[in-house]
Amino acid sequence: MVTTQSQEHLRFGSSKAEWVQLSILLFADAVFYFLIIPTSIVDPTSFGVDKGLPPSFSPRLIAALVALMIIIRAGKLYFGKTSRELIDDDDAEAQVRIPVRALIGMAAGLLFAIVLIPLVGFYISGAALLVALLWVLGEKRPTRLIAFPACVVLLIWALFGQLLSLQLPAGMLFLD
Amino acid sequence: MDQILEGLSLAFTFEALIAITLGVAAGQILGAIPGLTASMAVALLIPYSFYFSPWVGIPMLLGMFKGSLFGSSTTAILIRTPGTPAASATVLDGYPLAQQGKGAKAMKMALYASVFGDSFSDICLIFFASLLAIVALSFGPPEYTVLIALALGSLGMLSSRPAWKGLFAMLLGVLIGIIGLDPITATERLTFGNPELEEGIGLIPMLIGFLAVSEVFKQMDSSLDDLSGKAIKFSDKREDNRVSWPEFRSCIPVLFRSSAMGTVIGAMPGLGSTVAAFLAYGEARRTSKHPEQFGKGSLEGVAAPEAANNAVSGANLIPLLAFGIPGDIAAALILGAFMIQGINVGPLAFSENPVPLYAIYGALLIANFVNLGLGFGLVHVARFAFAVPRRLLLSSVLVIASAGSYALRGSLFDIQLVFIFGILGYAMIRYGFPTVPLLIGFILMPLLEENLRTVFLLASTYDEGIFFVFSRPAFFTMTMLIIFSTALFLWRRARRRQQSLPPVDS
Repeated sequence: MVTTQSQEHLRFGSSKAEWVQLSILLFADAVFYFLIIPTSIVDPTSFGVDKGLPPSFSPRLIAALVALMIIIRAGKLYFGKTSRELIDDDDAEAQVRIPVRALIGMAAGLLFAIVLIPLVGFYISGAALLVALLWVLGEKRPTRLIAFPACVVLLIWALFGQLLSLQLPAGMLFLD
Repeated sequence: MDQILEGLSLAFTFEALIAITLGVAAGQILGAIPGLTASMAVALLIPYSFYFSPWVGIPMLLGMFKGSLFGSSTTAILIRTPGTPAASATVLDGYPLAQQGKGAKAMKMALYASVFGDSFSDICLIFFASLLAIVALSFGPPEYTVLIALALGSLGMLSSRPAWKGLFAMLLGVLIGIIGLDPITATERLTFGNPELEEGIGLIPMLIGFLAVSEVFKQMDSSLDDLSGKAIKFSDKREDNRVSWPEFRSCIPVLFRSSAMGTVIGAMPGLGSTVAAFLAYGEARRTSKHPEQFGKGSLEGVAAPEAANNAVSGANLIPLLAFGIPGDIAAALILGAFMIQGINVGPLAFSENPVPLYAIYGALLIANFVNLGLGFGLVHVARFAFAVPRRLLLSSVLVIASAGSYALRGSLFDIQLVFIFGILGYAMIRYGFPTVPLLIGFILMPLLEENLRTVFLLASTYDEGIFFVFSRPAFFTMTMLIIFSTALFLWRRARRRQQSLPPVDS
């Protein structure tokens, strides 16, 4: 449960928090403009502005627009010409609480997509993810924990594998 | 007249009617599955259509195309997971309506709007195909650039307070849209040597990740009581489950405007139904008497994108039937099916053998009525299908959406992107950044960049440089219209502000 003071603080938005957000974004934007663009985009020499725009034009333009937007927002904040952001009670409370189940869901999702599917294939890892998520979300009945993932996986197999002839990843362990 | 009747009689055979019904039903079901686009649904059916006579196979394809567009809006409304990219704008107001227990009302409005938009564009196709095709083909890179830049500018601040967060999200989307090979020089951009990124980021993983998966993560932190309750609650009140005549009547101007926009955009090669839906949504909000309700569950906000994206489906066939030029992938696939079945399209077809074309027109119109009838059935089925406990629905959405994202390109990387974008989307929602402008930026960026850079390449061949664009009648007319409508908008706003100011002596 959040305290009334912190809820009040969040509800009316803290200009300090926004300053932090703007500073981080401006720093990231500068890194992108001065470091990432030059190292990851090589403009062909024959594509000068006189013969069309170079490949790095669009990312540079976007980075410049982001910087401009941040500076304008910072100016408005500094001179107090902006109304403070209104956040409703639910969002304010949600920002304070640590989202434990969501974090577990994210970790499980990444594990499913990066490790399990390449290893054991879509169907087994999909069933495993379903069991794990159902458990985390409060489902403790063994029948449901087994039957529901089985039904979903069967449905996916029938629809994608059989009806649409789309082969989902088989996994390294089950490849011929 | 005999030829018209002969053509229509081909579309009204028992076999053709059954084929249309099956096509629409399959389209509605496939469209509702995240990742399976209308084009993909058509592509999957083409091999089967080859085994039937042309007047069974072609109506089935057309029915499937129409059905998939409505089907995709049901999941967009109920679980914030658009079945196809075209339904992403429907999420904006459809999902808030579903959260208020008005999911059935939103789905019915989407159905009416879909059928309205479809019928509008089919009638335009039948009566004005050649005229519209000529107008559409006069649009080149300069006109596309202005149109898309205007769309980006006006849609960037959608559903965002403060506005800078919406703009930032849009620019982030634009940046993600840049990843891959440069459209003009094929230089690698922001790929960091990863071959998976050379093709660019797929739209389906973006949509599923930022809309569906982020929402699942967000809802996972609801209380356990909420998670064991019904996934979607439908209100018991009769008025929350139907669209009354006054409600429909209030949406008629929006339906006409959005259908017209969808028809014009559909007639232009390359833009597509997703762009049409977002543009129509932005325009509906701009012209609405209640713009403050947009994003919170406005029926106009459901009607506009649905009418526009469905209008594209008929209008897509305008350049195809008039000139034999397919406007997008779905139209190209349908052209392929026509060729397999030995049906000629293009200007000569109208003079030499127009009977097949009249049969196609007949099939299109019948498909709209079938879509309406089966759509009601889908609304009722959806009410039962989504009445499962929320925890079952949330977890299954993650797995089914993963399969859908894999289906389009057969890439494991796309499944990984779904979760990465889901986490990014969750973080954005948590810190007050809207995700829809990001998707708009991502969708429009490749179109904008390609056209803008083509304009600059063209400019280098003209003596007057970039000013050559003003010698194009379509560009000049568009620019004048934009200047006029912007001036009118600013004048109206200034007048409204003046009227809302309190008198000096009070």
